[in-house]
Order: sequence, then C-alpha cells, then structure tokens
Amino acid sequence: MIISPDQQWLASGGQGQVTIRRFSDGAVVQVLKGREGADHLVAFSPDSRYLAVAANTSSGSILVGAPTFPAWEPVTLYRVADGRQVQSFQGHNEGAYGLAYSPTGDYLATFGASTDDRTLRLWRVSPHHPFEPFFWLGGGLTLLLVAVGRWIWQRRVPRS
Amino acid sequence: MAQFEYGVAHLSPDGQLIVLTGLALAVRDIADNRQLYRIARDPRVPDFFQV
Repeated sequence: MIISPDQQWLASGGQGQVTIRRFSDGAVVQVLKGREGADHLVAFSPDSRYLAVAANTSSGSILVGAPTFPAWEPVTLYRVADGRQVQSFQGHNEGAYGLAYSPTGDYLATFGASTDDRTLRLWRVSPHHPFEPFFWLGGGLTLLLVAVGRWIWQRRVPRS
Repeated sequence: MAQFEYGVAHLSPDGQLIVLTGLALAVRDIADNRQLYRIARDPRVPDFFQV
C-alpha cells in the first residue's frame, strides 16, 4: 500500500489486482487487473501521475496452491487518471520483490524475486521514451565490480 | 514479499494523516485521532479491501 506524493491517491496491490482509491474519502477510482493469483507491488511516480505495478510470482508467494506462471513477469506503468496502460517492459524472472521510483521520476528500480534472478535493474521511465533497460547488475557482475574496485583502491593507498 | 499488509501503518506525505491496516483499512487524523473513513477487508479475498 502506498500514498501518492500529492496525497490524492491510495494504491494497494493484492492478489490479481491493484486498487487505486481517492485518499480523501477512500472511493475507488481505478481497479487494475494484474496477473491472476499473483501478489503485486506498487509505486507512484513523484508527480503522482503514474503508478508502476510489478507482480511477484515467485514460489515465495503467500498463495496456497498458486498457479503456474510464465517465467518472465513484466512491470507495467499505468496512468492514474484513467487507468490506461502507458508502457510495459519485461521485468524479472518470476516477477519483482522490490519496486521504487527515483526521486526525479526518471528511473524505476526493480529487484528480482526468484532465486534465479537476484538482479537489481534500473529502467529509464521518461514519458517521452519507451521503457528501456538502463543497466542491470547480476550477482557475478557485482562481485567483479567490487573486486576490481577494491584492487584499484588498494593500489592507490600508499603502504607504510 | 507480498503486498499483504496486516498491522502496518503508513504516514501521509504531509505527516497529518495515518493509514492503518488490520481487520480493516482506517485513515485517521493524527492531530485529534479522528477517523476519516474505514474500509473492511473483502471476506472472499483477505488481501483486498472492499470495493
């Protein structure tokens, strides 16, 4: 559940759908159909005009007797005013475990939910450009970058 | 991690209201603890609040 930055909306993600309410009185303004039976994460853009929705279809779901899902679960951006799907991109294997907008609204960060996809991905979400992966860090690449950075740092520190 | 919430509180960005989730979703004014509205959970799907 999340309150939009302008306090106009209250969004809650549940199994199979996401509900957007008017925060002032709780009236439902949009019901967004998501992946049937999956849990959903939600995040408002900083200008409160868009809502990002990511399903979590991993086996760690709270569902009992959960259905079988396709391997890759998209992250979708909706316009709050009319519930229209603005853009969608291929997110993570078995969906996302974390979802957050950057403070400027230019990027969306997602974190994979499955044990096979523990990646953090950063997506450019400018409304003037289609969703595109900006970069992603896999576990192996992260370790490589840390190792290289440590090696460089050790070379820079004078030994006494 | 699911979005199922129970016993969770969310503060509004201006810090004046609080959203509490439990048996129902309740929005309260922090200044005087006045309840603005309350929405029960959907008995069919406990993850939902009634539409």
